[in-house]
Amino acid sequence: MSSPTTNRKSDSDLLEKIRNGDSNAFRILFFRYHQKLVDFSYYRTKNLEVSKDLVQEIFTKTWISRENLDPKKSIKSYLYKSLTNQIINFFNSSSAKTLKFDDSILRSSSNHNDDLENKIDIFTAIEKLPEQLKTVFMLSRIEGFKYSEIAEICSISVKAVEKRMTKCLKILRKLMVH
Amino acid sequence: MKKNDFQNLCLKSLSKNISDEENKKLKLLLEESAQNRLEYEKTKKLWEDSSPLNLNLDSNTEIEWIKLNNIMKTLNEEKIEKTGIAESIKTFFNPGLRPAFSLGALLILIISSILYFTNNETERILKTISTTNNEHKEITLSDGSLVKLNSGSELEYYENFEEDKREIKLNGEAFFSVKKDGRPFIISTENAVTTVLGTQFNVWSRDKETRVIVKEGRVSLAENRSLTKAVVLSKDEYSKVVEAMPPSEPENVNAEEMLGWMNGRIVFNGTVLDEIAGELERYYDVKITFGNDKISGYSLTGSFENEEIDTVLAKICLALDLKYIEHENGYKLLE
Repeated sequence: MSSPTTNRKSDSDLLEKIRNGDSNAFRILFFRYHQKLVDFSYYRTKNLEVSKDLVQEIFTKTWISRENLDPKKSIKSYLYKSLTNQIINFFNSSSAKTLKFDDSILRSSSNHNDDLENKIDIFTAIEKLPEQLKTVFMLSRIEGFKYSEIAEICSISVKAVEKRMTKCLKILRKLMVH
Repeated sequence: MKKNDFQNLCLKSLSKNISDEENKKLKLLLEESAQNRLEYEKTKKLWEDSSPLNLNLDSNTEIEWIKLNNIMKTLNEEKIEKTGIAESIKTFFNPGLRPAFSLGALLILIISSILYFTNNETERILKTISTTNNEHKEITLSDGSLVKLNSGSELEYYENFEEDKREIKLNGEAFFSVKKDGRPFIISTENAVTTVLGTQFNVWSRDKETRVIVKEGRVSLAENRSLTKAVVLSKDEYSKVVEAMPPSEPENVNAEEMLGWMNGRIVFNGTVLDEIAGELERYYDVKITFGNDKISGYSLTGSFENEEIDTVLAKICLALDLKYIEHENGYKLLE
């Protein structure tokens, strides 16, 4: 693949081109966010195939409705918003089962110098958070989104993001005591 | 100060959402009491423990893009069907081989050809390369990719590919060594679409059947009208699309062995005699007929290399307990 990162175009440049039907700009966007979105989806679904399908769905929908994309809004937020909705739909559908993180993926990962068991414990605890809280927490902790961006993605106020975050903290601390 | 507000500040600080003013406030609160400092440390520990996992997922971004690109292509085609002729003319000048291939576009083609010569922007030249029986051709495309065209086959493509994809139409059999250049390479056959980025593989397409064997890399194969149901083939894998059925489950094969035609070898693997006759007709430029329909359904496994047609037929007859006679400038197989 010729590297889409050379001569890097900003997201808003790409958005403008995509709105005009430029499939090459869409390709650059795809390569920029695909892996991250699959990872995010995996945190929630614990299933790689499902994750890839969900991401494929949202890119397809984005392309179909490209002319209606808001040029003033962030395309990255839009993608995460779509994905979050897609994940909720997935869990509402009958095909969804609550799955567990594949331990082998965790254990084979190279970068934890910290205590792996502790890591597994905390992600098991995050798993127990109510759906809405989980989304907010993950968007902040895993994806590094600003509260204002999370507010946009989840269609809630920044104040509500703050509230949900402190609530997450409370529950997680309680769960981690055991 | 409520506990919730304090924790909110801690989290905002850890997640880098804190304003300068809030930061000052937090610092004061931390200096104020040991209890607050302990609380902050606990929250910090939890925050650090929940750092993102290194998932190392194989997200297959390239293959997923190929699939998506196929979908986008289909969507585009649907749009053209809906918007009708005016739009089609535009598309003829802009991207795609498509309208030139569809029967419905014949009329448009005539109109367009008038415009073609008056429009300087259109420098895309449609090329057709075909082989007769007993003929092979090697073609180097404008992107550096190499195509070996088997006998009785035809390629059609625009000499200069588009900016975002390389499209080519095939009827017959060809081996492709595709150069990777960032654009997908798309082979349209009568009933299927084969998409790759850069790899070596063989496409055989005759009578509403398309077969793909991969020698190197990965290839996506889909039926014409359901491009989302693509299979992805890896090295030494084979799949086929029969009429409008979805692609068959990938099977393991020895690509080197199966693709003997490039070295003058003809390989049959459980192939029916009807098809074998077709291959021999193209290879030897002779006509082969059958005494009855039943014979044409017999199947055979084996390979022939640089042998006279008589020898080949003799071997086939021996294996299947048949005989052959010379018949009307060709041969006839009999029970």
